[in-house]
Amino acid sequence: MNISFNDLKFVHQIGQTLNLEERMRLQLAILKIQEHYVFDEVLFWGRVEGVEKDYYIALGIQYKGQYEFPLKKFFWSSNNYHFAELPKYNEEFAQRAETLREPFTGQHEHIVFRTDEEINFEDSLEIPAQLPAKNFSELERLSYIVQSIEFQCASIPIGSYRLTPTHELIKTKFKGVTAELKNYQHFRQPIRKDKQDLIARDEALYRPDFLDSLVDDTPYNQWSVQTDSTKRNITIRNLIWPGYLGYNNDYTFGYAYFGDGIKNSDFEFLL
Amino acid sequence: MDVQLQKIFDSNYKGKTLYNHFCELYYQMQENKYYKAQSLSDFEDLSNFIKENRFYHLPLKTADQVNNLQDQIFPWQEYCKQQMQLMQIKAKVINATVQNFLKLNALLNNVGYGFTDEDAYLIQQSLKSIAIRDSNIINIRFWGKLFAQNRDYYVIEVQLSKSYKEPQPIDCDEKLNEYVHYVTQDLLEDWALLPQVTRKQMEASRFITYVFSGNLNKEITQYPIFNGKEKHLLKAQILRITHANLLAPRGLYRFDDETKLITFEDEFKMPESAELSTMDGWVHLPPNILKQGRITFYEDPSLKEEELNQMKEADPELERLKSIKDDKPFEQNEGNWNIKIFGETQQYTNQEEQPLSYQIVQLRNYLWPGAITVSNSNDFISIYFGYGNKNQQNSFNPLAPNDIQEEPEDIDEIPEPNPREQPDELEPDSDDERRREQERREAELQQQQE
Repeated sequence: MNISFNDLKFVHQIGQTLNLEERMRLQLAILKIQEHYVFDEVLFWGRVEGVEKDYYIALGIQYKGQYEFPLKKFFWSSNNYHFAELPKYNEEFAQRAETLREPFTGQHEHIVFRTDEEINFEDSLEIPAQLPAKNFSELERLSYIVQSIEFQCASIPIGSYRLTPTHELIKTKFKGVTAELKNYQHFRQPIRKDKQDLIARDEALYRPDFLDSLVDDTPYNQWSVQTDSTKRNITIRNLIWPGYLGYNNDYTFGYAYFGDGIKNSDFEFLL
Repeated sequence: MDVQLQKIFDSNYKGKTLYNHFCELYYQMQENKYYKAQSLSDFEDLSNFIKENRFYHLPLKTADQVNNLQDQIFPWQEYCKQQMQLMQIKAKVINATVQNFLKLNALLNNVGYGFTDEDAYLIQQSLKSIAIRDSNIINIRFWGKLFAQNRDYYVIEVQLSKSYKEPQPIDCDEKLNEYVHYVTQDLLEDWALLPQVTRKQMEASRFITYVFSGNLNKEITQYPIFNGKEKHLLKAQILRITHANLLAPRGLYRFDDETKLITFEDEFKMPESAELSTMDGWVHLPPNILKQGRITFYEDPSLKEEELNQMKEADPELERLKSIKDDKPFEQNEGNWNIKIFGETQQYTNQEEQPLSYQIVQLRNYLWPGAITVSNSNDFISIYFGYGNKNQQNSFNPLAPNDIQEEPEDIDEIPEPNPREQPDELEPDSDDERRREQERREAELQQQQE
């Protein structure tokens, strides 16, 4: 979401918002990111609520010079509003993090899983090249959750981006779409074979829907498309990650996450 | 290929073909001394300019077309009408305590929840319109928003002076249906009244985790069997959430043991901010709902006393106006409520040495994520934003169905007496026996005839 925060009125549809202090400090902090990093766009991604403190996430996107899909870089900050890069997470334990139901505490060093590995240097003849893995901290859990949500949920309406002949993504003049699920696609490198073929054949240049469509997501009912009374402000929500919100109207589009960072793993049983 | 190219050349835009356009463009590039076209970049601009600014002669509409001109339907008509109607609702006097939602929404926005100002205004007008409609209403407040698959629900809670006596089965509690709810899916449309809920429905709803679909009349197919449509389950969940989460600051209400009524305390002073920011300062306002699905325990006359006593112990009634500190703690946390402070935390003292504080306290319920209570030194509000389900710490485990009845034991089978040889005809032993047999048969026949 743009840091002018004009689009916050869409987030009100799920009953969440940013208060004045948060907005002002986030604007400053996000501008500050551009001091050290060069991006085409730096956006506010969302807020993950914790017991003691909340985490704020920002996203920097670089379109120019990237082949086939822009580069995304995430930044996190706690209540001190000082953004730092979101670190990589330990792959082995990351899967377990997805099914955790405990809320985030807000202390980023809080240890989520202990990795009990002790290497006895005295006995072994060779010293291993890598040090044993550190404990899986809450920051890594946050990193994994943010990237999961971005992969599984981040969505944009069709017709909002175009692929140039040099396979760069650029924004087009966006005129709005009707409120149907088929008018939305994932904002990620396409994984479906037919979309990848489309891009390889260069046909994607002329089509507005060259990324993975949301209609093909399983389970199908996880997406909820709703409009407000005017029927032009559309919000699209995900039920597996409650708190994710994509929105668009005739002028703008975007997405954000306002929630507690816990996946709804029981979703299939709830309908 | 040539055919296609020819078609493009002959295509018409406002009465001119592509060929004409190229000619025009070429001419302008060469001859026009006001627009100095110098390079390829000007080519596109000039083309656009010519396209947009040329005078094109449009042929007159034929008589048919003019006579059958359809009135253009203004697409926003319905929306404008409804919005205008809602905004103009006003009455001379309304005899009810209507929540000042417009002001309280600003409080919610300060803690990161709530609606836009426009939506809050519409909600306030809706509260007014329902209060005008029914003169039995004592209290009306905005309950919250329940998200659903297709369309969300906005819910308003109302307390009446005389409740509608709908016929209910004997084991239901009237007091459970003390709060009455209205729902709508679009703030500009009319509000529907949710039906009353029975004890059995309340009991069953405790085991169901369900995401509402948005259709009030949808059949619920879940296990354990819920006898009712989505509107009944919706009402049951709303009641459960209200009875678990509606808080009041300590000292505002008083519970009278004799009349069993809640009334306002005579001299109420809002507790200090320091107290409000701990769990000591808040109490539960509505009564606790028993596992049975009622507020007071129901003694089923058909059950034995032992069974009843056992059930009673498993399902105790709690005292009214209980502090939230005593709520069952959620996982490793102390208690069930998360307390956060927002806003200006600076402590001030005014001229009379009394502490002045502008801070805002937010209480969040762990067990019911989405239920919050927000307060500053003058107001407080409890509201719910969520899908209506508890926070399940364990994976969903569907309720196991009853044990399958086992088959009864088989009785031992004895083979049918089928001897290999047909038994010989028994001849009577002597004449005497033959005679006796005959007499016996005649006696039987006579008896049958009688």
